[in-house]
Amino acid sequence: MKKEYQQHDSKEGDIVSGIKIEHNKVPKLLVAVFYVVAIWAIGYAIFMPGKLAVEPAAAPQDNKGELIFEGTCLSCHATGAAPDLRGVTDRMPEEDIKNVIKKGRNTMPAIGHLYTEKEIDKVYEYLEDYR
Amino acid sequence: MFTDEKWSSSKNWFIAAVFWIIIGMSMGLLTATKQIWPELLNNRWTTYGHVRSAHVMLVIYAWLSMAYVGSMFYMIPKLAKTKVYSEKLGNFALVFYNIVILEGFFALLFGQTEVIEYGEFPLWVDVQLLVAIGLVAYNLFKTVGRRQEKMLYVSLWYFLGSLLWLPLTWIVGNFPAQWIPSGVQQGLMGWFLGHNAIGLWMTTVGVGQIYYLLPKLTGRPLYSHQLSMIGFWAIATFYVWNGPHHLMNGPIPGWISKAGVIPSIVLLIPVWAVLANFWGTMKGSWSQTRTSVPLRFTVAGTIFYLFACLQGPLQALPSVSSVIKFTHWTVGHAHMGPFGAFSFTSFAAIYYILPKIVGREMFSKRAMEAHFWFSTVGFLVFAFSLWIAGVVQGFAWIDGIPFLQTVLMMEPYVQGRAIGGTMMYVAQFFLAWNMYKTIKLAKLEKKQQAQQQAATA
Repeated sequence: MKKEYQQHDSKEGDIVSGIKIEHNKVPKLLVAVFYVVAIWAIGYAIFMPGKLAVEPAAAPQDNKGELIFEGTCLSCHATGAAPDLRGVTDRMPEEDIKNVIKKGRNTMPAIGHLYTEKEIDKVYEYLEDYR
Repeated sequence: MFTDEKWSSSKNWFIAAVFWIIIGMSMGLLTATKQIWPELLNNRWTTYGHVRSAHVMLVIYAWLSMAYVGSMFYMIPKLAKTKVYSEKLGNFALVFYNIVILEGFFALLFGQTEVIEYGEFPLWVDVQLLVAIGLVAYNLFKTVGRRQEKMLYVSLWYFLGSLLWLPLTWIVGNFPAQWIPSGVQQGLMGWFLGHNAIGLWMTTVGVGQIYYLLPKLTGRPLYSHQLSMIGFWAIATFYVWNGPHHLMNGPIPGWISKAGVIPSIVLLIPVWAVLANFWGTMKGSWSQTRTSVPLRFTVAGTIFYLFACLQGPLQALPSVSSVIKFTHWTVGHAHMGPFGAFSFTSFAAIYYILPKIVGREMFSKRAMEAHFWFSTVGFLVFAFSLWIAGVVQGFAWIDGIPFLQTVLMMEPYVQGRAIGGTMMYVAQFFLAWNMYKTIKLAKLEKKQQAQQQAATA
């Protein structure tokens, strides 16, 4: 009974609720890890921004057509849900293509209200080189 | 009305828990299946959004929490060398808790939600759940108050801490968010709940279970008192800061972001301290995992805990987060703690405690083996599918591949996830069947014994 209430510093271990607890030292490797983590934490707090530095998009305007085409058109036209657009400028006149973009056709929704006239021109320019 | 029988609270919480793991995981399986056949069961009640949040809430607050309470109703009195303060109150709390969970379940299917991860129940359910948790905590604190053992074993620190932290987390996460302006502030409040439900309830009770089970199952002394102190106080100090890392690279101030990243990495200290303590305790007992299924579940749980806690800090770093955020990877990671680590330790707790309560061994050892292997292999298939999917998906988005194309790229991985998930689901039927048989046979044997005694007397 007396052994159950022994002090922490005893070498052979205490018994608490019938479970024996030893007093092995903390492994040296762990102590090293603790220090490394602590030093890293202080360094990070002082020197790092805490976020990913985002570079401003290079040359923002010159690939607008490509961005719209890949971000919007290809969502359907690259997946088999809608016809392949390679060389479409050979098959349809410019006016018709722009009209389809603005007003839609069959299952394609009208997206003219999302873009300016200039942006649609850029998409058409991109389509001319897309083959 | 409510029984006063010894250990009945523990047993009944376990039975309810296993009932809910079946319901909760079938919601999960439905979620996974809907990613393959989106039209499946597409009605007002079971749309993807409803089913997914029901799955999350049920496995966390119904299955895992009930299994935790069940094991605490056994482990706490054992460690305190006394009996449960009130078995009646324990059984009443169980019935009440289950009614609240049912309410929450139907509220979610009906479409009511708070849209907070791990806190999706609507406010009127939150309030009731808080009362139910309070009843459990009161009962268990009273039990410890009447203890016959002067020293508190490390598991008790974890249990008592968790029983305080869960209500606090629940209050801070669920209630003020109703009144503060929406946007970033609500996001931060939401993730306070989201991450601390994991860190100050799921993790801490699970670790407490392992601290209890390992010495009992192996018969070896606990490796180091000092390590258990470092582990407990470090997690109690640092875990609460983790929420902001979920909003990494989002519109939050830089200092809050850093206040999320740094504690996430510092958590390596308590995790490694705890694991060193576990594996130090295991020294010389590893071969026992071949024959003892509960021990194997516990040790596999510690290994999954290690991996979850290697992924976690890395994911908190801004650079890593920028790739894997919003991908399938996160889903794989989110299952490793609650399923791989702490459901496993809860399975071990059930297999260790139930025979002691009913007074007979588990009915089938082969069912236990099947439960282990289906769970483990299923989880590995499930998780690796999602991790590979997440990395592929993350880099495809960075490369600017059209979104729908990246969705189609995920097809094989989503199927792999569903196959793994099915195995995980099937495994739980071995548990449920085995439990049912064990309890039924134990009752029968007790009855026969009583009859024999009556006959000889």
